Amino acid sequence: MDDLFFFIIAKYNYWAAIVLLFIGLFGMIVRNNLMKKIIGMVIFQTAILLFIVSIGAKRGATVPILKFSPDKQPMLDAATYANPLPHVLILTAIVVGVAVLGVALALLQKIQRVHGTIEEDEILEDMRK
Amino acid sequence: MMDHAPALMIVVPVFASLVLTLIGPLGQRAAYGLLILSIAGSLAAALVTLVQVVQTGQAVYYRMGDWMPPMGIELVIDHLSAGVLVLICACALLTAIYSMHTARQDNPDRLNHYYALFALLVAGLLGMTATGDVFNLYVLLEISALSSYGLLARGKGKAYYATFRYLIMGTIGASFYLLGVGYIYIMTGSLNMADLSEILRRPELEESVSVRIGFTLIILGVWIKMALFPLHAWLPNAYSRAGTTTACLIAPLMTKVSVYVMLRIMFTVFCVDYIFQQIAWSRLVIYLASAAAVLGMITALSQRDLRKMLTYIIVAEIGYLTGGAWLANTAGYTGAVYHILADGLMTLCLFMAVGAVIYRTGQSTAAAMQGLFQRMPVTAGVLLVAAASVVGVPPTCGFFSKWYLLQGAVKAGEWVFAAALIIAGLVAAILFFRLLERAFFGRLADAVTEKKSKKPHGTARKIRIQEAPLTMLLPLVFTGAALFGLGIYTNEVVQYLIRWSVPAGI
Amino acid sequence: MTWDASLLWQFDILILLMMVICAVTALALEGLLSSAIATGVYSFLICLMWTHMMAVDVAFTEAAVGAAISTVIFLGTAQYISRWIKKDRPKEQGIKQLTLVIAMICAGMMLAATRDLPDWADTASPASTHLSPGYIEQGYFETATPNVVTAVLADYRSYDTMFEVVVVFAAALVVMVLLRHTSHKHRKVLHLRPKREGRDTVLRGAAQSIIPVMQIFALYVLFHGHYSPGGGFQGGVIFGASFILLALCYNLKFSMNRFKEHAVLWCCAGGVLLYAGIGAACLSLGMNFLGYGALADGLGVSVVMARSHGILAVEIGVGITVMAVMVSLYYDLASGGDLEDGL
Repeated sequence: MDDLFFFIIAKYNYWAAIVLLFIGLFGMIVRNNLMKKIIGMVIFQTAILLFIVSIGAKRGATVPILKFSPDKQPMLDAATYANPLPHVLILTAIVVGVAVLGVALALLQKIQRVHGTIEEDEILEDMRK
Repeated sequence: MMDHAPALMIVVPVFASLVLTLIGPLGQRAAYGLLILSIAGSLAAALVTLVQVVQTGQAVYYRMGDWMPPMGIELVIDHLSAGVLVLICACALLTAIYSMHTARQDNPDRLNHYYALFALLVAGLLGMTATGDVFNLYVLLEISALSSYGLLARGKGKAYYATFRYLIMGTIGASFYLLGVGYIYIMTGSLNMADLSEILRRPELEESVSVRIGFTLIILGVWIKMALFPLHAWLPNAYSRAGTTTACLIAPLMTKVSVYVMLRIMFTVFCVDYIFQQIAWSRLVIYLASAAAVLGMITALSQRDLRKMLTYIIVAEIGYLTGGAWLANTAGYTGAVYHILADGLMTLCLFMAVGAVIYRTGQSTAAAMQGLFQRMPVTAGVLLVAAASVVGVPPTCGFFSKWYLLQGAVKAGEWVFAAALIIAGLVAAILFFRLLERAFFGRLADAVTEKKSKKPHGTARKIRIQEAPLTMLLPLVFTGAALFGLGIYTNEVVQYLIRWSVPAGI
Repeated sequence: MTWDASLLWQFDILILLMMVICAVTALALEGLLSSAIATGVYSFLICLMWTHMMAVDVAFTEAAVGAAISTVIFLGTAQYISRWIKKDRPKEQGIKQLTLVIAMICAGMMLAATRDLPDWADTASPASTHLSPGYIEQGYFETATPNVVTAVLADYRSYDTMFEVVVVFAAALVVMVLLRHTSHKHRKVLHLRPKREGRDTVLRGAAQSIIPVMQIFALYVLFHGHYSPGGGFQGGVIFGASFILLALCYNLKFSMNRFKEHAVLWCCAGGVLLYAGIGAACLSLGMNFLGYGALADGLGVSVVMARSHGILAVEIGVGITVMAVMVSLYYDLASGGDLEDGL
């Protein structure tokens, strides 16, 4: 029983990320409404970010900002700080995500103006005309 | 300055795009001049680096911010990337020169912003090729993707929906790549390619399921980006609706650079043993590649729109490249790398020639080809050269890449791929024969130019040469000549560049 | 194996469950406005999750970008499209189920493979032992920056960050190029949006008192990024959000009178120009691109302090660009590109 408990405790973050990933992917591919596709895209990207940030966590560690001892010397025990590298990567990726989101929404507005709808099947019908 | 060539090559177009954003009031000529100047600068830097790499026989390293590699980001330009960098700069420069009239036609407003995105795309592609860091590659991949969405959406009417689909697929591809990098990072703790390749050789990681998932995700992401069959559905719509300049820039480069990324991941980050012993998908991938080559060409044959036809040819060529890379022998690898260069030039040449035809006739169906040899003899001649190269007629470069690929397929015993190469070549021959027949024997009476000049019956029969403007013709002729040039100097290219980049153990 | 009580797994699992519920809700709801809000909630929950994983910089950014700006531009777009989705046609149900089955198989495989991953929060995992101790142990002595995330972001991986700023700049450019040539034929679509003459006094009063505080806080976040969570991105987004709040509480014109269209464009490009310019200055002073150490002589400080100053300078560049890009995205998306009236 304990083993199972520890197994769940050790992996639940990754599981949640993978489940969210596929929820988003499903929405992106299957939903007919383009706005829903974009929302799926946001969920999909964030799930990946959740996965990568999870890599940086360490048991018993604190935020990766150095603490100083009373005599102004930094305390440098690496095990007491969370891993900063995934944080840096994800900061970059969040910004990339909002950039893509902005472009997608701009395209969506244009599609609405040209085709008069944002339902995929209606757009395809409109294009066949 | 020579030492800084790798960084300058990428940074100069970035600066150019920033300045281009702001110089709207200075007019279109200034924008055009600045774009050409910056890309010419990049080309010079790329050539300097290429010469350095070939002379010393060693890769050039450039440490960004003076940090040692696994901690900081490093640019690595070896024999493989040096060739691709020169290809990117050359194609971009030719397209930039070519764009004088077409870009103005497609962008009645905000031409300087269009050119700014053009420069950003070039910077993104160069950065992807030069980098030695897997995460940095992701960032630059997104730069090239974002700027290409902007460029493609400037096409007419229906381009928006096609671009939207490309955006969705492109984001899935890039995100898969990122997740794959995450999986690799969690198992190794590193992002630097050289460092990763050392760590990934450890036996416990070769067995690891997570590393395998990481590799699968990265390769799937790259395949979506390079439109390998059956993940290619987004490409033809997105590319064929774009403006002429955009198509000339994006069509030859985006997919080729993705192929380059695939090679980098397969042979630099992972090693030959891992790909072909542990993963062992090569059979399946080669079947996919064969299907891409044959089905791509056959679909191209059934298209009536000229540009859509060309986009399906790209899908077929991706099949050649992927197949060659997964053949697991020297000839196949040589063929794939050589074909990156050859196909970049071929696709550029085809799109430029068709763009010139569309510019003059205003039509993009096959009917625009009627009597092309009389109306636009130079363009038609170059189109003939490009067609010969796609079909694989010596001494154009298309022949040599097919030759290497075929050799590789026979050596590996992959008869399906060999057959696919030959069948695709034959279908391409039929396709271009049909087009050129129309261009050569097509009656001018059906041609579009007739409609414009509503003169009496007798004079309308007179042939009027309406060649494309000189800024379009010069790059076109140069590219056509380059197809011959690359073909004639095949031996040198293979000897001084490609042979050096063949991964150990292949 | 011992369990450290400091990681509250019950709390985590609750948040993750709520995230899954929000994700499903956002995709399943028929009203687009409500699904945009559900997406915002989802972003906010993920911030909690990240704070709990000690990724404070990331959580800060996600709260500003994902929960605030994204939701606002979603809502800005929603006024130009139909608010309700249509029911999917029955003939597509088959494809849907097939995709669902394939997705579930892939998900199952990936879930099963997590057995192979190092345990979550394992201090001995390769990711925690290979590169990251180097950053933590050397970072302060090489860059004089206690916030290791800032040091890595703006110095060790500064080349990445430069291109990240270029990405947001590219996004603003693309949106501008896409939306700002609205032909007269399509203008009538834009006139459907409700006219806004201004809002009630309570909103205005609240905005008047909040906005100055927001802007000062944004500057604090930017300049204090060496010592506390924050930096150019977060500061820039908050500063940009203050203009967006102004537009929301008054109207778009009011905000645009204070931060004009061409000033936004200049700031978008100017921040990147500052960043890349510092890189080029280092190059011309004899070190590699973005090697801030080269600035030491010019500034009259040691190489380590020069790096610290270099980090600050590029963070200012980041802040300017991000602020302008957020405002630019809002102007374009909320007004449909004609910059006359917005959300």
